[in-house]
Amino acid sequence: MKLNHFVTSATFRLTLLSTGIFTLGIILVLLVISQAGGWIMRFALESEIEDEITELRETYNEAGMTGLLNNLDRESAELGEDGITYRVADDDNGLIAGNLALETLQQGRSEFIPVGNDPDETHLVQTVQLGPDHWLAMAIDGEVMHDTLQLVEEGSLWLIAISVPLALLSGLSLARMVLARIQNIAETAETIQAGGLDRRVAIRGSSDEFDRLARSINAMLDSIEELTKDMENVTVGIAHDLRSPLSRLHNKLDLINQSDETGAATKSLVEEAKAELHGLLGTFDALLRIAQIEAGTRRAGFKRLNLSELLSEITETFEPVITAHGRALDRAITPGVAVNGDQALMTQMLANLLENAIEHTPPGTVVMVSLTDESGRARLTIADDGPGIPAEEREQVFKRFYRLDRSRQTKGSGLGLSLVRSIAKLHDITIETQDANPGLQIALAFARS
Amino acid sequence: MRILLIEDDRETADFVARGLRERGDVVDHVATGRDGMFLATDADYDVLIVDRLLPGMDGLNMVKLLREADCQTPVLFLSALSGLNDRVKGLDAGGDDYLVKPFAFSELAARLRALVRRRPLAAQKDTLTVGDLVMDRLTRRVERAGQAIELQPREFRLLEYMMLHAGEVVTRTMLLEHVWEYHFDPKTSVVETHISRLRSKIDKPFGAERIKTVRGVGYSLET
Repeated sequence: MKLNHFVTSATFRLTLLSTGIFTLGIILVLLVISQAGGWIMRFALESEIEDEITELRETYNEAGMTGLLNNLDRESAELGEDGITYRVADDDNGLIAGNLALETLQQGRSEFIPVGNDPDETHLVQTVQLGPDHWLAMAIDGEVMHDTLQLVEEGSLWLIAISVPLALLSGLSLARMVLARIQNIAETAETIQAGGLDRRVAIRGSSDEFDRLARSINAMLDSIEELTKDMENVTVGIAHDLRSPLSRLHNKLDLINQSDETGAATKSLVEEAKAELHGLLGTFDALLRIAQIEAGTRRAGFKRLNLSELLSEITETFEPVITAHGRALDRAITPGVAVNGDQALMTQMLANLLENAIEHTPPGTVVMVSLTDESGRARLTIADDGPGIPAEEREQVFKRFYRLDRSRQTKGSGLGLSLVRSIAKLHDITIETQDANPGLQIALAFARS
Repeated sequence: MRILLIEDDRETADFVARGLRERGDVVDHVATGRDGMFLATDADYDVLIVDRLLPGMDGLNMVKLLREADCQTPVLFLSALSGLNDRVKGLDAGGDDYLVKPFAFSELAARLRALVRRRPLAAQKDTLTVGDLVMDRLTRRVERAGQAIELQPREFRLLEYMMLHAGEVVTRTMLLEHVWEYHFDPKTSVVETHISRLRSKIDKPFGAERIKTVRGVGYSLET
């Protein structure tokens, strides 16, 4: 990666951002700690002399100046150890006892720097007036406080010196990890763009956000691939299903052209040619209609339909046809089942399903149509006790131009069930092919309406 | 019949005009919507055959304008558009029938006849009579030679449609559209089966056949 490229990369920016935030955080924490530490330290020192003064003032009140001096004399060693110095003085700051050199006497707390000391080594002083002509001042060495603060400062610098590079490093690796996974997705996308539609984004199995993203991208790719394959199938189907009748038509026209006689033979060839054309136009219309239905514009005209009545009418229409074909119809239609839909399309869907049951079963088959209301959802099934469809081919039958091997010779476009599926899809109907033991059952589960 | 054919495709126009003239009809042919509009409002035609997609003025708009101009001549649309919506649009624009290309000439002829012979009065009559066949449309009673015949609702509608068009040829698609309201082509013999059922009720017991098959075209109820 070139430097220029690196600087503009998300990795660089993410790293910089995370390090910056981290460093700022550390500095803030250290500031708070040192500030609070100073305050606490100062408070401790001040309360130490405060306690001493309170004690000494009590001694003065009880035993007078003599008592106070005796007391101080007794404790001077101990006080010295604690770094405490004192000054007992008269009203004119004349020294009575003690070793604290204070130039003025003023009630309250203050800081001063003893002569000859470092400017850093402040002392904390508290001065009180004990009596009309007696003052007491006590000072404590602030060295501990300064030492501690200095330690904190030095420690902080070290901390920053160590943690900032660490933050940089961790930020960099974090950003790299995140971006590597994005890179993975980007590379997959590039491969797919170059034609490898079977490629998928790798999933790590950690079910994190990236896995979720990868999964949804993969799901999207799956449906795109399916669509593309469907397209290919349709193209192959069109090529096959339109080409074969077209070439038969061509042959028939050739035969007509070659024959000299104009008798019945020619006439029957013309009839056959017309039948081929009729079939071709049927296929063409079905394809157009599927495309039109899949465009979804018909949804605007949906109305409330009495499905029970519609199904009764259609089964009444087809019952004589079914009987004429040597099959039987049995029905169980729950009255009053209503759905939202397009009447013309719904009629065509039901007619297609019934015709399918007639065409792809042997004579003697019983076709069973039923409509039930399952807690507000209409369920329509069309079952037969014919040979059924092998389980592995059950979903395939809805594909355009798909035909079972045994149906290859029967007429029909191979689009009947595709049309059914596209109408079902438009109406949010779940359509399933099931084993009727024996035979085929097609179940339509309508959307709740 | 005087027929105005408005069609820009020369081959289709020749095919239609030749067939109609052979039958003895008078056919005027124009190729644009504007010319068609002009002739249709000016002269008195029995029926207009209008292609839906015309150069200049579209067939749909032309018929809309004609209807607005109070021209009530029946209109049959010819169209290569076979979509469900296309048909509805054609009828909404004021068309009386809609035929998708390619079509058999016999289909066109049967539909034209049905359009022209539309007897507004007959459509509202309570009793229809064709020979010895009588239908009471209110009580839904059907008799032939004084003998009551039981019909299923669909058979009743089928016979009713045929009686309204007695003496004319009705095609399979016309029956599918008007009796069943099916706007698709069933793969199975729906019409044939129902006609045969109807025949077994109104013809067979009486020995004389009233419903005639017109080969390759459709059926006709003899008067």
